[in-house]
Amino acid sequence: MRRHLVQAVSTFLANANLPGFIEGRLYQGRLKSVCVPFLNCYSCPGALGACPVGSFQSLAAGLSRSASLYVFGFLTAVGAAGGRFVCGWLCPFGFFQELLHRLSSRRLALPRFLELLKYPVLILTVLLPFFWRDAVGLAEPYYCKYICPAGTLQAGLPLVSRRAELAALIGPLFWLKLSILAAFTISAVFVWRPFCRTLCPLGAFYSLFNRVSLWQLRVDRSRCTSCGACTRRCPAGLDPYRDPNQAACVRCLECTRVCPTKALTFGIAAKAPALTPYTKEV
Amino acid sequence: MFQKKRIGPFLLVAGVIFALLGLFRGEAEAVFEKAASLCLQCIGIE
Ligand code: SF4
Ligand code: SF4
Ligand code: SF4
Repeated sequence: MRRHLVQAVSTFLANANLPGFIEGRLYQGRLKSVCVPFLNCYSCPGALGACPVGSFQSLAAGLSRSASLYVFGFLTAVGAAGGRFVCGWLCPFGFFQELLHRLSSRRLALPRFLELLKYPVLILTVLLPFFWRDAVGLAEPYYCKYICPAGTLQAGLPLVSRRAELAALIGPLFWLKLSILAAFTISAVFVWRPFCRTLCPLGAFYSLFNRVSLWQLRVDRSRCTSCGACTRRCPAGLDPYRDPNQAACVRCLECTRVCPTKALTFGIAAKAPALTPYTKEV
Repeated sequence: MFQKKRIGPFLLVAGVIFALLGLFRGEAEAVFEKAASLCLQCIGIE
């Protein structure tokens, strides 16, 4: 519950330009030069900051083909600090999917191989704007254009519903993106965070840091009784007492809450308890 | 393990340095220009 409160506050703070939703206009103050660490569309009328995925692609897509050190460095620092902690606690689109998941008690598992899809998506998101150019040498933020359901939810729907001139431009692309959003919205009711686990390039990027980040999940084997309470609680279907810090872990820390002996903790890696047969070194 | 524990702090510092270099190159202004204007691709109409 405490985590949902943090997610709600983060979602509100990232999208606090409330008049924008009524007027269908974007916030254009200086805060827009500051990247947020999660997927939050900068074309959302409420958004106060810049989406890092959109920003990176847009700069790469320009004529100067600029690889943004600002965005890359910022995301690297955030990932190196806590891995996917941002996904578990701060990202509005992750929160949106979790709220949907509370609507039903029916739970469906996600085939593991689908979780690998997000890595090619990450590679294409980064590379395509540099290399897929039209006749005059211009590119586009292709992930935003063809996939991003956060963009459709936060920018597409509010803006076309408030501005007739934008609604008049709706074509096949809009319906494609709306279908993607609808597919993830419906599947999120039954599958825990389907978008985060299969297609999100930012989640894929942060997941690369889970095993090396400064803050880590730690297992104290002298306390762990292998009761499996953490495994039963983990919404991602992981086995944190055997292998903490897997790429799929969004660091929701639910497992640390239910551990009866407090063997699982989240803290600075350098202070981790000694490795045991159950905690793999990579 | 000894070395692995140092990768996180190293990447953290490297990330901060990269971000500062980007800011130094004026990228905050470039990000602002993109983020403050309507992105038709995000909406899905271009
Ligand atoms: S469409 Fe998605 S990736 Fe693009 S700026 Fe919006 S939220 Fe970010
Ligand atoms: S995986 Fe992507 S959408 Fe999901 S919480 Fe992380 S940044 Fe947000
Ligand atoms: S392993 Fe723990 S922190 Fe990671 S997703 Fe599962 S419950 Fe959340």
